[in-house]
Amino acid sequence: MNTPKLTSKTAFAIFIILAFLLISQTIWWITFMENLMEEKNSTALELGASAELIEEFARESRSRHFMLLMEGMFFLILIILGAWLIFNALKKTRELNLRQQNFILAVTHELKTPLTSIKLFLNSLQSIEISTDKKNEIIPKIEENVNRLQKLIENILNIGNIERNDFRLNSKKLNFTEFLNECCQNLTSQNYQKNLEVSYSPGETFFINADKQELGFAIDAILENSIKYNESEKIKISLSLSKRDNEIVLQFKDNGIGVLPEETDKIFERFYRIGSELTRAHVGTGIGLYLVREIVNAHNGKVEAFSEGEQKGLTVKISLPEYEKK
Amino acid sequence: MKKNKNILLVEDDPSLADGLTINLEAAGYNIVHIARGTEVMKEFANGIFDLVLMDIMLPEKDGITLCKEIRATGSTTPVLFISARSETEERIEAILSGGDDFIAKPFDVDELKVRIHGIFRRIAWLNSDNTSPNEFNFDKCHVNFAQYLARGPKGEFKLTQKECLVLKYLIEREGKVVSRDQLLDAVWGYDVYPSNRTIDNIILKLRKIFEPDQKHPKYFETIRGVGYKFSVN
Repeated sequence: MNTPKLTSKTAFAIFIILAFLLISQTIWWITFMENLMEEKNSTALELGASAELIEEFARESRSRHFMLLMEGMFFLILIILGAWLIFNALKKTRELNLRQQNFILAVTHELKTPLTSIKLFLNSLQSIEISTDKKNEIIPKIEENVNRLQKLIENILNIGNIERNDFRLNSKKLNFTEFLNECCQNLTSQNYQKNLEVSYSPGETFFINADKQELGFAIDAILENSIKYNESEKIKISLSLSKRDNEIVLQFKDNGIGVLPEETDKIFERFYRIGSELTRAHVGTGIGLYLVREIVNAHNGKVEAFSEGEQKGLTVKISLPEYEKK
Repeated sequence: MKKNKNILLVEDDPSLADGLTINLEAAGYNIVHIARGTEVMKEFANGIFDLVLMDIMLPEKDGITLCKEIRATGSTTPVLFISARSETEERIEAILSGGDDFIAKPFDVDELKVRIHGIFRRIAWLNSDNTSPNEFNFDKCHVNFAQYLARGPKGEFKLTQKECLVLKYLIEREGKVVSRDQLLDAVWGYDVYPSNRTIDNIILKLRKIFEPDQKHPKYFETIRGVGYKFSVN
């Protein structure tokens, strides 16, 4: 992670040297021209040149000064612009490096923690004399950790497919209204520790052309995100489906921790997570919403997020083209 | 009747905390579990714990910061870190923050139990009356291993548990050369070796306390390429 730091220092040093050279050269040229003009003027005076000619020399001198100053300014602006572009590029590289580092940290944590839990639970089942009730408590916990690992591995594999441009959809006509209802029912039937209220009233039937598995993954990821990033006593998620022009718009609205309005676009970026990985309050890797965006994009759709600020909930809007008979 | 040891478990993952609690309770330890880093100091002040078993990655406040805060209170309660990362840098950081041992995920419960036992064994050795007394006097210097106190020409100093252990190990082997590896093995144990630099830093601190002239050490002699020798005469 030291490379960008070093590179930015080098770039800054080069910028300072170039700016110094340019300013020195401009000053030198102006001084040189000044001296030259003075010399010319005095020689002309000595030779008894006319007032018009001396005035002409003065105009020429002013014009040259102006030209040199403009040239210097032009190159200085070019250098400043170049430095600004380099600075921005380095800033982005540094951000990406930091996110990648955080991602590795998060994935390491997310892989090793459930694995350790499974090992501990298996050890307790094998070596400790425990009651049947306790055993019945432990087995679902092992299952939960195995599912957690499976989901993470699937996410990482999906990322790999996207990066290799090997992400293919198996799209078919899909009853979106019904499918969304299934997703909500699956979610509420899962054993979530927190008090969860998912509201969705299926209305008009809408059809889209979609890969059921991938779209289901995206919807689950958004719902899970709403649950994970929620500190309310009662988690509320409301879903609605509507039609706008030729698009079907799916909207998720939660009462979670929200994000700063200026961060709403960033949440779909790869490896994006808020804060430091060492003191992260919420488990995750920063790839779930990135995958959502890639899946929606692959369906020729668009995903957007809106939030009024921290602790003010998050609204995610997915727009997908309506099914058209070909 | 032998009293069960109390362990403060600081772990934010509910599954891992459950797994640890079941296994450690079965091994005879009393477990108090808390999930958030911000609650540690409050819980630590309220209870009497023989060991803190703490994850490094915690919500709001990380384990390294918490260990430093625990040490800042003057507490010598051993801290055993759990972490998903196992790089040498992190191990060193954990030990330098005042931690006693480090175990990387995914670990076997037997290994964890051995490490916990190792920590308690080292503390028992430090506080033992049988093998060597709890106090030691040499020239005008004084050490109290039970109270982690040392008095030298420059006054009285509080020692950390590790400094106390290193000092005791050297004193018990007065006049003999002790290698850095021997010290690492006895004081840290297993493969959590922080680095030779940590040992050197501890020796520097001991010289600062006891030596009248640190540049020409009289009691804590460096044996080049091997380690250290403590001698009074």
